[in-house]
Amino acid sequence: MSTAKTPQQSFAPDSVAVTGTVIGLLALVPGWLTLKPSRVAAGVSLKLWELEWGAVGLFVVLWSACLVLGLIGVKRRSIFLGILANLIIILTLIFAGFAASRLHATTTPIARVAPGAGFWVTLFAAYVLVFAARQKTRSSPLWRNLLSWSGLTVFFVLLFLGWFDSISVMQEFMGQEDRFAQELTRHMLLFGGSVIIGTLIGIPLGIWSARSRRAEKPIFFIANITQTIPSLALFGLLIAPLSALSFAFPVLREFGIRGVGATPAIIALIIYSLLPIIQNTYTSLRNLDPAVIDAGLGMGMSRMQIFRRIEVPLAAPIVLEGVRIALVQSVGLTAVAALIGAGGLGAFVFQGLGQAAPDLIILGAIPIIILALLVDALMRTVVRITRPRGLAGGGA
Amino acid sequence: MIRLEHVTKVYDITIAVNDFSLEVAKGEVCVLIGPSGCGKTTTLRMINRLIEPTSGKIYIDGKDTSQIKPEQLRLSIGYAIQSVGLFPHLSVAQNIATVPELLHWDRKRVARRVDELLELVGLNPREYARKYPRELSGGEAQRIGVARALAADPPILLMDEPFGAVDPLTRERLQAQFVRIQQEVRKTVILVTHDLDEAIRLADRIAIMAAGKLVQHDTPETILSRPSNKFVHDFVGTDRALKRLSRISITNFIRQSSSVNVNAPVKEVMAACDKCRWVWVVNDAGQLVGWIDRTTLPEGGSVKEAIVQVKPEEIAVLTSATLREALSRMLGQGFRSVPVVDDKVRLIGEVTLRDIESATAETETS
Amino acid sequence: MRRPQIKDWVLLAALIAAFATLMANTHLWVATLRLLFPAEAQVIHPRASPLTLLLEHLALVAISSSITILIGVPLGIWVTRRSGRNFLPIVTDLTSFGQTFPPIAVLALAVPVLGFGVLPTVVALFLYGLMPVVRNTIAGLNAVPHDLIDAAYGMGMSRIQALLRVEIPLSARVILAGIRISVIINIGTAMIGAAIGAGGLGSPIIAGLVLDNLAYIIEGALPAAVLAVLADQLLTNVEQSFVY
Repeated sequence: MSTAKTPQQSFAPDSVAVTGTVIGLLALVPGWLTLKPSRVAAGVSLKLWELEWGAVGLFVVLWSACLVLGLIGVKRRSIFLGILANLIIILTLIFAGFAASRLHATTTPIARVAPGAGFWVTLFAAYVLVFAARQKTRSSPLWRNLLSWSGLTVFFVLLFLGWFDSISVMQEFMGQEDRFAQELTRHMLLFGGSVIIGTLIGIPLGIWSARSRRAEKPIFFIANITQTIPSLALFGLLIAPLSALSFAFPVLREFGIRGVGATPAIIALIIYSLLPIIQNTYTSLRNLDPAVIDAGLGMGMSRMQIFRRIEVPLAAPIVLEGVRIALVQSVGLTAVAALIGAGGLGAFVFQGLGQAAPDLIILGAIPIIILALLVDALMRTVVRITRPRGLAGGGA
Repeated sequence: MIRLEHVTKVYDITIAVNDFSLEVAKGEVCVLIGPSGCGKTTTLRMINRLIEPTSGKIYIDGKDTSQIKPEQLRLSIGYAIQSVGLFPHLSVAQNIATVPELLHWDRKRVARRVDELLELVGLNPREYARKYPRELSGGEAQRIGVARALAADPPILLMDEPFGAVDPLTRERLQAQFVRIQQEVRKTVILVTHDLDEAIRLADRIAIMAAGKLVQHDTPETILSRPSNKFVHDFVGTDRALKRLSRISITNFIRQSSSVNVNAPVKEVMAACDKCRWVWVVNDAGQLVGWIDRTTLPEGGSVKEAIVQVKPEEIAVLTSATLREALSRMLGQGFRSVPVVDDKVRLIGEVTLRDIESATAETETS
Repeated sequence: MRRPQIKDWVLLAALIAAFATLMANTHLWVATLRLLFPAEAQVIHPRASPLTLLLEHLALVAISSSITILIGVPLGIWVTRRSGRNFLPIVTDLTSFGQTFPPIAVLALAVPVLGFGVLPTVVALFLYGLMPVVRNTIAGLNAVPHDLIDAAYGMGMSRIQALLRVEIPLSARVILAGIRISVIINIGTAMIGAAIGAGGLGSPIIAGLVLDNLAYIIEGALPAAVLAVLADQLLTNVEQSFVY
């Protein structure tokens, strides 16, 4: 009865992968590209077969191959699935760029070509497939990373090669390149600067609340309440007093401190970054095993030495987790601040909303998302690096 | 009543239980014991189908358990585990009432049964019914776990290290209680433990397992006096004689003992017993408070001045104790007799070393 | 963490009642704002009374949160059951990935797809609110100690009975925490929904920014802040009723 490897494992259908392929096949139905006569007009949705029959055939073949693989069991099927999925992603990207250019060449210059539902759902289905393949494969980490990142890498390569230039968003971008760079810089200065200041204020407050029972309650009470307040409301509540201040003391206006704009935004952003940082600093210190400090004292270490050599390295990863949360949160909050005149990528979003120009909206929204994801990934790596070896994983 | 026939359980390449056959009669306490990993818990869990056997059959009252719906089977079998598993969001009463409610008993009957069971395990219903698990001590929680297992009055009880998670003193009390309850309710019990002394104390028959196989299935006396192979011999250890003493209750060995009141004058000590060297001292309520050594008695004066005060729990045993505990107490204190008290610490009598010696001699020849 | 006492509930009820009464009293608003901002010609946004704005806002949050709960909690339950276990990794990945998205971006992206108004706002709120609810449902169910589930099955409960009688009551607190987080985020995101025509307490703020009218801004900002704090307290009380 007993065998070296239970046969069931390899032959069971991979339900996640199969789900992905079904979604992928269904994604061939809705429109892949939308042709709009101008950047604000409604568009005509073009189906895949209206664009290129060959593409339909190609995708059907690829998805069917994935479906078959997903249902039957073969050795190393996950690798094959992963390779096929990445192939689908790459082909989808290449096709989209190619078809968009072809379309664009046949219409007026102000017309816009945007990716449609079919395109997006195909990419999503391929992601599901890549995920399933990555989960189940037993190959080396090298292969796993290749599976995960090939699609994304190709996307960026194509992007920089100008492959996607005919697509609506890129067209919009090309009309706004300088401004984009300006707002991006502004955005990063706003959220980066605020979180840095928030950290400088938050860490001492966190230390204080951890050491003093009496300080703990009021600090957390205020931090918790401010965190709950909606960002737009907090901006609003700050504008009135700041306006009054800048009217009363015109000298402030010389420094750029006014009722609207960057000032209330920065103040609010600092306030919002306080809770995660205070909370995590508090937890990091409270979680320290008192026995460890006791041992340090027993060894003859001074309080400062204990702080530097024991408390800081052990607490650092958890505090940095708090900084990560504050940073990711601030990317979004800064975007909202564009509404009160602070600038940043949010300006594109709100301008696009005002003009009913979807491409402008996307030009703002997508980079905001990418920025948040990048900041998140970067900080997670930092946290991982600072985690002392020998400490179990898991932070606040 | 319970019959396992050639039951086998295989995980991947490991054989957890290997061709295991066992029969447990109605009303019998069968203890499964063996070293870690021998398959005893797996076997237990196959009886109520928490684990399905790879091959073999299990019959309860002649019915093949694989033909009964698992939920239905388990509703008719009581199940008590080491960590107790009391539901923290339910009160004690609601916990105990779980199975009866699953069986759709009416509320009055359930409430009566809860009170009945709490009294059975020695807890005051008025006090405990409304409590929540977080308010209970380890011993109380374990007892309520047993009460919960017995709630629907199942004919069979499966227990997996039920007394493992408490301190030795509480464990001893719980075991005594188990013996008492079992005498009352007479369930068919299969109990898994790794503690041989517990097995010897509680079992009608012991099934020793090793590496998934049944090694010996006999009464505790037989296992101790006639181990079937080297493994069992080594497993029970070299103090088999001592272990056997834990099967014998002290009830038949309690002698009348002489005692004197703590407020009495010294000369009464002589009167109490002229041949004994030591006399127990009791208070007005009859509770044991200490002892007196006649050889160190002062002239005149009261017992109170000469008394050696002791804590009863350190030198005395309860009437429910076994010869082994009595002997252990004696050796620990350096006495040749040990006082026996009831649950109100009143002196009942004593057990002497000589009596234990004759008891050991008897069991050697049996 | 202790269970909320009667007095906590009473205090909260009083605060909510006071808030509701103040919001209903438009004249009080007008008078107060006139006092604070004597320079403004109009102090409250003409489109709707403060109470109407509050109710619009509540409606947005209530509808989207209800759908989120109706879909999110069962989804979280399903992926922790035998039948859905295969999908647990990808659902976990998607929800933590999605949680990194700034809510404003999700709201903005809903517009090209669904247009303006209430619909894209509710859809965006629903989608974004799904993340904490699903994550917390999964975390809560996974945190139920295995020996309790073993005891439940051993007693004779079926899988569904164990789920309903043991697993869900014991994970209720964590699930409710997820719902609370979702609702609070939604209250904030719904403010921005005003920019795409969904109404609510964000609209006087945006109008105030455009028209440079500070009174309008306060008309929206103050109730929104109070609403968020009260909602948080209410939901925290509910959540902590499930401490065992």
